Amino acid sequence: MKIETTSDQALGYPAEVMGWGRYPRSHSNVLPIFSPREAERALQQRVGLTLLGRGQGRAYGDAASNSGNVCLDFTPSDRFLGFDAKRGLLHAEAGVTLEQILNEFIPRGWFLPVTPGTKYPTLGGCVACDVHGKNHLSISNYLERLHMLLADGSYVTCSPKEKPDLFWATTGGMGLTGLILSVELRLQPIESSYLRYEGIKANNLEEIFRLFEESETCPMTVAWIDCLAQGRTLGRSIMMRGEFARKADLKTSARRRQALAVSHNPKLIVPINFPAMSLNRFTVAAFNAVYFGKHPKRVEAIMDYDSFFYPLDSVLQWNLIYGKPGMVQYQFLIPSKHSFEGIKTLLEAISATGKASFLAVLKKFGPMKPQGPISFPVPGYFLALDFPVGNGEILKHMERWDELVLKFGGRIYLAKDANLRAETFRAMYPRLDEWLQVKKKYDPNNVFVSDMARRLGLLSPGGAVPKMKKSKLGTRGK
Amino acid sequence: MKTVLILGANSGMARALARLTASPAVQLILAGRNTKEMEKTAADLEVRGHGPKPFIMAFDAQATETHEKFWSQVLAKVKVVDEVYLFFGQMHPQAEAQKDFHLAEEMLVTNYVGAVSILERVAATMEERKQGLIVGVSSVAGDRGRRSNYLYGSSKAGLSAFLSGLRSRLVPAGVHVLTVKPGFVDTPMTAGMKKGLLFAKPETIARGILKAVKAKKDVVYLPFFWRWIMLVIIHIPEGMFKKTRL
Ligand SMILES: Cc1cc2nc3c(=O)[nH]c(=O)nc-3n(C[C@H](O)[C@H](O)[C@H](O)COP(=O)(O)OP(=O)(O)OC[C@H]3O[C@@H](n4cnc5c(N)ncnc54)[C@H](O)[C@@H]3O)c2cc1C
Ligand SMILES: NC(=O)c1ccc[n+]([C@@H]2O[C@H](COP(=O)([O-])OP(=O)(O)OC[C@H]3O[C@@H](n4cnc5c(N)ncnc54)[C@H](OP(=O)(O)O)[C@@H]3O)[C@@H](O)[C@H]2O)c1
Repeated sequence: MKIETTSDQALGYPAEVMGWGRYPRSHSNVLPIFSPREAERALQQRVGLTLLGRGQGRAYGDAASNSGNVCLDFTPSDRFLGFDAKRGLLHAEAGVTLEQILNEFIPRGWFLPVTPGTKYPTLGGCVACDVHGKNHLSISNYLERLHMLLADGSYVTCSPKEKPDLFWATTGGMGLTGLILSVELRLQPIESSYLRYEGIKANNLEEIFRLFEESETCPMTVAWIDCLAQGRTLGRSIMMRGEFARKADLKTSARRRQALAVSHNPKLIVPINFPAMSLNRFTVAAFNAVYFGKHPKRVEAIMDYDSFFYPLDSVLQWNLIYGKPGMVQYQFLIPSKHSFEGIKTLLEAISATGKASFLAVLKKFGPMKPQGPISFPVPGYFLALDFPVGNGEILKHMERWDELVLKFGGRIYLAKDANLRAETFRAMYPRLDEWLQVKKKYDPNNVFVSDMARRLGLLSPGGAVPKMKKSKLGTRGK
Repeated sequence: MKTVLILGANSGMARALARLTASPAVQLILAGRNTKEMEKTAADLEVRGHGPKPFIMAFDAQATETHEKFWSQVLAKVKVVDEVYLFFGQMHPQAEAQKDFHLAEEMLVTNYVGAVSILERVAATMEERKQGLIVGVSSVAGDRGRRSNYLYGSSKAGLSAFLSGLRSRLVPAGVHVLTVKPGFVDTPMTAGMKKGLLFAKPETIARGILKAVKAKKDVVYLPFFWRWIMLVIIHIPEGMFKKTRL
């Protein structure tokens, strides 16, 4: 008794969709992807609607939004598909989160080869942004293969050897080349999940740059910088260096026995509607003064990986402290040649506007071979700062800073961006045309589109430019 | 080693339950239509090191003529099946199923006829062995026919009535039957429905099922508050109820 049916499934449900910054907000349909079949169905039934892969929404701006169209939510695709324990090669579906990987593989002596400052993103999202961490290379350097579903409905595998154009356009390609279904990632072996941490205070920008140059061989470095310091103390910061501890480095025998412990640091939750007022320039300045004031010239410690890599994760939903208007992150990179001058000029410009940044992180990328055509990392220094959107004044400031960044040959990180203009973006990423050719090859009709793609012109040249629509696929009752 | 058969193993809820059930002391048998997908679930459980690699078997609830053979193949593979969890189900939007009887028929045949067909065979074996557990996933939608979803609802009403009779029949044999009535759950079945506070995660339902099995419950609403919602709904007098848009 076999019955064939051709029932139309609605393409997801309507929802308000936004990034981690909660700015800008968008409305679109969200279709949960439990298996590639649902993505395949979406390709067949989209009737003019555009699609976009989406993970945990940890990118700050509009990278994972697709107003009036459909976001394919990959978070239910969270299965491990294989693990080669000899090589540490993990094959996992795109919706697996970094946290799930850590919880499962730390006890077996493996860690992520690269990790952003939060463990909640998905693997797919991390590949699409080609994320970087405290070490020197981005995640694309540790990928063996990507398994994708393309606009024409074909399932393909790509790697630096196989379809390299697709591979490099996808790493850092912000989800616009196709859907990432699963990822083969090489993990790094560890003896313990603790880090030997060293914190060094730098009184100004010269000092912190010198520390970075001296730390070239340190596996992981990053600096926490006080953006409100001016004049003599401009650039005062704390350099944080770390490397995984060997088992023998752990002092107590109890720790040694549990060298591969999974961290479960207590989590705080920020109450909803935390007043945006409580985070003004004075509270930030006071916080920074206390933090820097208290920090000795140099500290050494053994630290668990949560405290070292993910200090922000200890406050779940901390993005809510910026109130209803949300926040933006400004992450710019100045290539090696002009790094010092560029960072100094921007720090001065930023600090002159008196805009408080609660978090500011400075980091150096050392020499590396060319990455994906629109991937962020190139040798140089970058700075990342958070700002409340408030009345929107900050966005105007950012446009001025963009001009300065451009003057020094620098660039903005798309995973954090919500505000860049198309012409500025084009000037910042000289290999954009190379990327657009690959987009044209694999997605000539712009099936995969995001609000960011519309804003920055990350669309197939010659292909139709899909508009934002009022979502025509509504809900259905139960 | 305990053997556990999951029917409709690609269901969102079934995947969650498999992850919670897998252990070195359990041999899972995943049965469903799409074997490629089941292989991914099996790989996941294997990578997590939760237990022996699950067996995978093709099973189509609508193809009732194949069920006899399917069940004997299962028994040939594992000799004894200790627990059977039935998750498969089909839901089409009421408006479409009203227009196209094929869609209505597909729901009735899958959710009711298919379930009865396979569970009757399972029951016979367990009754003879005087041991076993049958968990059938029905729905709150089966508690009362509502205009917005009565074609699906009536297939689940049939399943609930069947499970209740089966439970009673198997009491003397010491075989336990649990009826599960979930509310809204975030799975492919509800992919097109707006998510609100009433939606539960498949993991929550899977945990609830295992807890109810442990507690030897007969019928369980998941999450628990659906019991109270449905209590109100079934007590609205028909004269009034027929005028609601529920
Ligand atoms: C507190 C915090 C700290 C951070 N620190 C860092 C850092 O140190 N370094 C760094 O590089 N980044 C950092 N980030 C950014 C974050 O790591 C990246 O934006 C990451 O990609 C987010 O992953 P996600 O799963 O949330 O993806 P989303 O935000 O949902 O999506 C990001 C992009 O990936 C695409 N995408 C997602 N899944 C798929 C898929 N399956 N197929 C195709 N495309 C897909 C989307 O279209 C979108 O363009 C940080 C973010 C936060 C909130
Ligand atoms: N989601 C809810 O809100 C909700 C609420 C109450 C009750 N339920 C019930 O809960 C159970 C689990 O559903 P779910 O929510 O997890 O949805 P789901 O992921 O859509 O699962 C339904 C599964 O049933 C399978 N199936 C359908 N027809 C089949 C057939 N003829 N033969 C074999 N398998 C068949 C499907 O297999 P394929 O993969 O091959 O299509 C699918 O894997 C269902 O019985 C459903 O009716 C769901």
